[in-house]
Amino acid sequence: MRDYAADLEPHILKILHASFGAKWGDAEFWRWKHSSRPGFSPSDVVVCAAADRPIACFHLTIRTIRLAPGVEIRCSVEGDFAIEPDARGAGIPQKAYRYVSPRLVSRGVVVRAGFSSRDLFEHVYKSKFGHRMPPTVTAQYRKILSDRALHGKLQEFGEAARVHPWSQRFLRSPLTVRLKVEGFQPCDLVLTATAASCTPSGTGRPDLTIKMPYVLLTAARLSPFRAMLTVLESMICGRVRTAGLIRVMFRGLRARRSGP
Amino acid sequence: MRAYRPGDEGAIVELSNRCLAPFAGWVPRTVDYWRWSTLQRPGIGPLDILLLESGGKILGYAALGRDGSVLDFCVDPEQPVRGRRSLIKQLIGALEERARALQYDGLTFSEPASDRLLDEALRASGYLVELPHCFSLGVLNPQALLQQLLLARRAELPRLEISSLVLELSPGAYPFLLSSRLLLQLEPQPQVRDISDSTDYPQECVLRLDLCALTELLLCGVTVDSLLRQSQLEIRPVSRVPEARKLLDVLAVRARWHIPRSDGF
Repeated sequence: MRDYAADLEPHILKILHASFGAKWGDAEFWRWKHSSRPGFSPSDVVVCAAADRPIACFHLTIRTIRLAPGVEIRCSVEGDFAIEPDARGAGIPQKAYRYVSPRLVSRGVVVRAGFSSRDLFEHVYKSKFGHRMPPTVTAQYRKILSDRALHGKLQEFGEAARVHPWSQRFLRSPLTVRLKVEGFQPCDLVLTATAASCTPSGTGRPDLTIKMPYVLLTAARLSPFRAMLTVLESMICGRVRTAGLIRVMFRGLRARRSGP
Repeated sequence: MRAYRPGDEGAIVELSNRCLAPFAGWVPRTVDYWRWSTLQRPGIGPLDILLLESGGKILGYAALGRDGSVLDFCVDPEQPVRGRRSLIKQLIGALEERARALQYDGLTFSEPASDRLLDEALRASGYLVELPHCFSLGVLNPQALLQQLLLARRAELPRLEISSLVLELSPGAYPFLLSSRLLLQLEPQPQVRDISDSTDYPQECVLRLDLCALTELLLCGVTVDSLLRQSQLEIRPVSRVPEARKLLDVLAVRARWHIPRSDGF
């Protein structure tokens, strides 16, 4: 194990990209996050090597966090822990965790913390590092803003609906649903027995047209009561409009009668 | 509503610290820390830092990260409810407008769900609530943590029959054990001593637990009774359980945790 030195930088980035992909960030991002950070110490980046070849890297930053009024402690926030795929399974995370512990004590660190996925927390942070999750009020709120992302989500939804056995009978001929979601360009969700696609709306006549507010798209992920309120509110306010619904319902009835 | 201008740092830092005050786990802002964590972050420009200003006072502030994640979002907690609700909506709208201008696919907020006005405004705007990334921690130096808590809470310490308490610690799943035995002396001055190498120490109240249980007890809101029930804590003699419970209840961090996105790693 060795501390950061400028010559290690390309290797560190290579290891990070091998673990997290290029979306992790570029050299400029790495430098901002680590070596250019105020208070950075070379011992904040540990590189593990095997036969002089860097195979894993481990990053931390020491911050003062507030626990309560008048209680501020030094916390080592750790992450960007990456191991080359062929070096995994050799206990490197525990070795690196133990390696930095005495040094962190000498730097006045009281607690060690990390951010992870739930899966990583269960399999590494909790079982190998003995970490625990404090009670948090932080929630993540997410909303789609671009037509491209909306099309992606609708296509995912279409795929999930398409594979249902009943849908297979229903989709013996293609079904085109034109969706006019408030705040977005109209799009066509085309479902066939073998595929689902969502594209900007064309000039052809769709089987079904639905105009709706964006919040209605999220109703399936809300609690049943909140979802019902959202749907009712949208309908009462006239923000939901359909065309071709009866025709599609008849088509559904015919599909049900025709059997498999 | 306007974008950041040099010289706004002090007001942004003051507002952020006020908004985060009820929570545990955040980094108290300084101008230097804010400049690094937000202003100098790659992909962020002054137009991505939005301020709500009225009568020369900054009432709201938000910063938009390059992947569409909202790094910080604060609206003056002392504003009247109606005014604050309106400011929150304005700030959300401005962030969405900026994100659309930058052709981001979406927006992600990591905010305290306990802020009811913000939670309502985001849900009403069509935001879906998801579980955030896990933030987890372990106690590296239990002596220093207990010392800080004891000193900060000394005015609240209850009158106890015991004058000292001994913690016998084992590592549990934690890979590093700095001290195996700590003495909490309450009189004359509260202090915590490492007595790992001592064989002769006060026995009037001895607690036995591992570092994970200590983390849960002091930082995660888990109670003494809960740990006793799960046999993760042993208190000797049993007659001292009420005394130990009173002391640990005062020392434990009770605030809920909130880590703003800009403090992420």
